[in-house]
Amino acid sequence: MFNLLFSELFRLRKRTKSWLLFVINVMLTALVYGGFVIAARVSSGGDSASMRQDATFSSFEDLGISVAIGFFAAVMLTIVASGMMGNEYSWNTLRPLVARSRSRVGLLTAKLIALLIYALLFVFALVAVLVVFYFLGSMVVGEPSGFSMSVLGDGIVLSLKLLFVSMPYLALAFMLATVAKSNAAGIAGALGLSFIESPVWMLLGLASDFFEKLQKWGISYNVEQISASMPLDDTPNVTRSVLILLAYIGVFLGATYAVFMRRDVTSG
Amino acid sequence: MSTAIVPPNHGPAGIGKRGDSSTPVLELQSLTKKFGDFTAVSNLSLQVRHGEVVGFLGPNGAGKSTTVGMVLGLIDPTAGSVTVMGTPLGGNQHLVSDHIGAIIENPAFYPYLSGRDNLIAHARMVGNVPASRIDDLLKLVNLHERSKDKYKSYSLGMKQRLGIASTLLTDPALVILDEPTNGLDPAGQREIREIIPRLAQDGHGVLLASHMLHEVEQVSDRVAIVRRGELVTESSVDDLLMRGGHILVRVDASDEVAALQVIQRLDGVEDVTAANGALTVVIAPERGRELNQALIAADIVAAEISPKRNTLESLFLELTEGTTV
Repeated sequence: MFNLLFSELFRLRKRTKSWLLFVINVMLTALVYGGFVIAARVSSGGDSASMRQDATFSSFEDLGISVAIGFFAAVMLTIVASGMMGNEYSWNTLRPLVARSRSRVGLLTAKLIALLIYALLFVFALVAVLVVFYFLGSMVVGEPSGFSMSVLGDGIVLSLKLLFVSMPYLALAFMLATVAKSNAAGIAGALGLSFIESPVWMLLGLASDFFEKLQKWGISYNVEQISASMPLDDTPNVTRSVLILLAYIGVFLGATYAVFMRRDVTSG
Repeated sequence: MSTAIVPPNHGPAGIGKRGDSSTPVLELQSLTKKFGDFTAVSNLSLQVRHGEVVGFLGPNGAGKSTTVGMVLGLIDPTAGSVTVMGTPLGGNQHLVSDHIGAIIENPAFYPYLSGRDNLIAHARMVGNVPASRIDDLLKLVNLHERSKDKYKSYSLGMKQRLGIASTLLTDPALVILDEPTNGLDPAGQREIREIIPRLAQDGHGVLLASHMLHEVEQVSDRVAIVRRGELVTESSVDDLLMRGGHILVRVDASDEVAALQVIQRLDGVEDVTAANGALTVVIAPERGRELNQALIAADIVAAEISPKRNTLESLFLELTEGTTV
């Protein structure tokens, strides 16, 4: 399996898309944060002091980490997760890949570990870029940066938490791409669910108390529970949400293994 | 194109890690695959040994690709077994990665990687492939000068050649080539045809699935022909081409009846027909000398004695009932 893992990492490293998605993530974050900084710089109303303050590390978690990792990175990583299997089908490289693999379990596991490693590196690199952004932003608005190791530590913990809550969607994308033999299916299914699940539960909740109770077993509700908690919160509610999300991850990946192990690879 | 295919750590015969040369590298026993009610492969038995090229022929939909899929562990057989290097494949997928190199239908590589990086990626999948091996293989298939170009910029011929290099990364006992010259220009086809016998000379067993019948005829030691999932014949190429062969004999019109009687008395003559001033003698084509001696002994001088071997194409069409390839 390690051989397969090294090959996966080699291909991820050599692929332009791996780097391009990171650059896009940085640029989108720069647009959001940059716009915020420019507004703080030029504002002169009553809120200007508060806005300038928000351009410093005081908004590192709420604005920087939440936008860069909680939203943009979740989308980028979903694209990568889906492509891990979906592209093998579209490039017809799955058959030689299976033939080269010592086992199909090893093949899928290597892909998942490679995805996890890539996601961690992606997130840590984004945190580093954000730190630079915030130092620059503080200088632009003329405020002390307010940087401390404690702020950075909390930011990293929050980043990992946001990465964890995006895992069910990554697992779903991986599963759909494998089952449907399609990159597009994985991306559309996972991103679609992440966008519509919460509003759908809200509408159903208006119709019946039953759905309001049922939504507590959904992904989005538990993602919100974990995201809204303090970085190191370990209350029973959060623990329960963690377990539910782990269960979803397990079901999605279990289904992926079950389908792929039994499937005749006649195409791709 | 003079690079050795076998790495230096292998013995003179090129068998090396490929194990005991008397054990078939591949053995199919009563292999069957059904998709629902459709039987793609039925009761197929076949062997490939070290150092031989086995042509695997059949019309479209005959079950060739399904058979290759089962050999590579991509498709589960409904019944029967695949044995690789003397060990049953079932559950031992590592046998494929250790002992088999294959191009399946068309070579498929990662388009964003260069040719060289594609080989590196494949080498990392299996491990223990020295970097020098990759250089040697790129030279072997004449791609060393374009090795840093992206795969997506390669011509079809270059892709096929990269595919062959990839199959040889692990120095496999069995090389499976499915339509290796498909879409190549004549020069490209010749290059591939030159490589295939060298693989066999180096001790690899080669299973060559191809629609190019003359190509199979030129490079194969044995041929297996399948139709509708069933093996219709398996034989050495020479034996197969002798089958249905005949000798054309021309004599003076005045000698025709006497010659007919002489020839009919020879052992092994299956049939003799006279038409257009010539006798068509259905007998093994290599027996022309013997036939000539019999005519001379009867004071008949033949104006022409021409052995006519069958062609693989005519035999193929006959055995597959004219189904197009």
